[in-house]
Amino acid sequence: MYIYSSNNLLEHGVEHMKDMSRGTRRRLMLAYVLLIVVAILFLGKIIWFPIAFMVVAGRSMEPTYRVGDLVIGVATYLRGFNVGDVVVCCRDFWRTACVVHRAVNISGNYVVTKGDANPGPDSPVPVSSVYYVIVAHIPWFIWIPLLAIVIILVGYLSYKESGKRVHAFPGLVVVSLVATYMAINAGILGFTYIDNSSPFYYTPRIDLVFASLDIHKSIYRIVLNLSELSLVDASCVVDDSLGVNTTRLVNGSTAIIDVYIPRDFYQFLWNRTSAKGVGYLPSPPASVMESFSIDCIFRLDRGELRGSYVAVFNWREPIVKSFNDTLVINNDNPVPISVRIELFSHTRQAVVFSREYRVEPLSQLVIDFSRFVKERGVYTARVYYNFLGVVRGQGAEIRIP
Amino acid sequence: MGKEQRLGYPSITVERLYLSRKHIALFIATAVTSIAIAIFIALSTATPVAVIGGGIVEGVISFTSSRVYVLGKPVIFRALESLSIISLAIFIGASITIVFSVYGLTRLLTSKEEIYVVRSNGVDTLKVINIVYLEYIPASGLVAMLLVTLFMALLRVAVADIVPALPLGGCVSTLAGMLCLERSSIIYTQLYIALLKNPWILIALALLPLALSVITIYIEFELYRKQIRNVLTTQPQLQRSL
Repeated sequence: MYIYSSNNLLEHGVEHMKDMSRGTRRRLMLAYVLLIVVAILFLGKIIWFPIAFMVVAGRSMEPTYRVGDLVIGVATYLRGFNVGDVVVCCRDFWRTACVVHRAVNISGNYVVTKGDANPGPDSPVPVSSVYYVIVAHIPWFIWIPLLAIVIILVGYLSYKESGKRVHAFPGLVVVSLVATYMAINAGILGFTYIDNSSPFYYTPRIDLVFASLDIHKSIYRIVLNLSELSLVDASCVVDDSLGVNTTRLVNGSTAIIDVYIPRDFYQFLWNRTSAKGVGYLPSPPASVMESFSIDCIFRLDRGELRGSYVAVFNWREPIVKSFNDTLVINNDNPVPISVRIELFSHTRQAVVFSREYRVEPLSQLVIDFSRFVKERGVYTARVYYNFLGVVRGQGAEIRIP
Repeated sequence: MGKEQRLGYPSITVERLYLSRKHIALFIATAVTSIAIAIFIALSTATPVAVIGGGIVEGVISFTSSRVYVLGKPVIFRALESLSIISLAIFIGASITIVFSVYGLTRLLTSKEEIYVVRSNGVDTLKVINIVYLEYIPASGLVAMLLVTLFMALLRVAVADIVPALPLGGCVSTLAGMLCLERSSIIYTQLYIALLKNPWILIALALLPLALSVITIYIEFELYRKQIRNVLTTQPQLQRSL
């Protein structure tokens, strides 16, 4: 046996509608239609509608558009666009990953856009990815309160006109609430967008201020501008394999790295080039360009710099000069050069002096013949040497008073 | 009168339902589950997703606000700004779930109207509640389910699309040579490690309120259907009990 409470178990829910005036219903219907149209416009972007309302979701277009501002777009097939127009480009079918940026360059089938507040332009996008041209915008502090007032007013009038009671149909609340939240989601995901412009970030720079070989000091000096990075350590190898010593001096953002080239290395280069052989040599003093690589790893506080530098210098043939009874031989090379010097007497028609010398690197050899030859007269000094595997000779006039 | 009611069947509305203790327990479980899930999702949304560090890039990424710096200079990343606006939908959903669940729960628990049903094995006490208030509970459960799915979608977008676009380091050619900067590592917070390693957690969180809501809606519809049937068939036997 069941016992039920009997108050208001049944109700005929259509009676109240009789009281609603036809005019009020018409106005309400009009308001509903308007709201539906607005909703369609808000979803315009994702339903491919010719006109779409969109809400600015990023600060890339400040101060033109601020976050929350409503922008009104017209499909590009209705209105063309030019450089300077603000356009909406999307990269996905559902048009959720978009940018609202200004077209700064149109070249062929590609458009380059840029946010007014962005430090640089976006990557070029195909013209077909540009869906809307922005024709107007409404600041957020105008459209949000306006829309809220309209929705509240329509809701209130509906409630009022429906007899100030909600009819209890099962599922009504569930459907209403879920539909409301889905509408909110669709709205937020639909009329906003995930701005897909690339991130802009500071790229650390390292400038090569100076890099040169000082053949006299046998130092390859590298000067770097490290900006906000700090040099921790430096290690270098010469000619791909030979480890060399380095010193570093840091002054503010400038780092000076000296790479010490061993003297023996020049001899190695000399021998290598000599073995390889040189081509045509002009008349003395000839000059042959030589180069070698210096590979350095600079360990920085937050990374490392791998630099490959080329040191260039010239092998120079010894320069032979004479001043009366003095013969001067300059060796501008970083290796010693062995020379054989002969002094030919024109009076005797014979060699009166012959001796071998070693001219040290980057130095000069001075021979005063008056110490070796007592007889006055005019002589010819012949200097023979091996220059990069080629036996060469030079002559100079010697006058012994 | 009974004949008139049968003829008027399409316009019959039943406002109040009578719930047994089992039904009440199920509705309470649904409401509590929805509230717990909504709070969890809202707090998760406000919790940092990942911390970036160990290299040139440092910062914190979360759905609501992110701060990322390269060598101390801020990264301008509009996608993260958009994410914070879209995460508004999560907070709206959480608010809807919590408010309506609490409201429905409060109505259910504070309803003092009861009826007694005499059965062969004793007397059952049934609580009387308006169907509108009762429906808030499964409705907010469904919103909680939508909330979790939205959270899953945003998490996927953040982890798979947005975070990988961040400049974590690498090599760049300069006049001085190849400058290779230390790559920063993305360390996901414990919560997100758990969620990313165990995606079934979120699926379960979405299915749980869905299942409870479906069951409670089914119960509600069954009670409604039974009540309509009983009203139509046993109208003469109705008696006021309270």
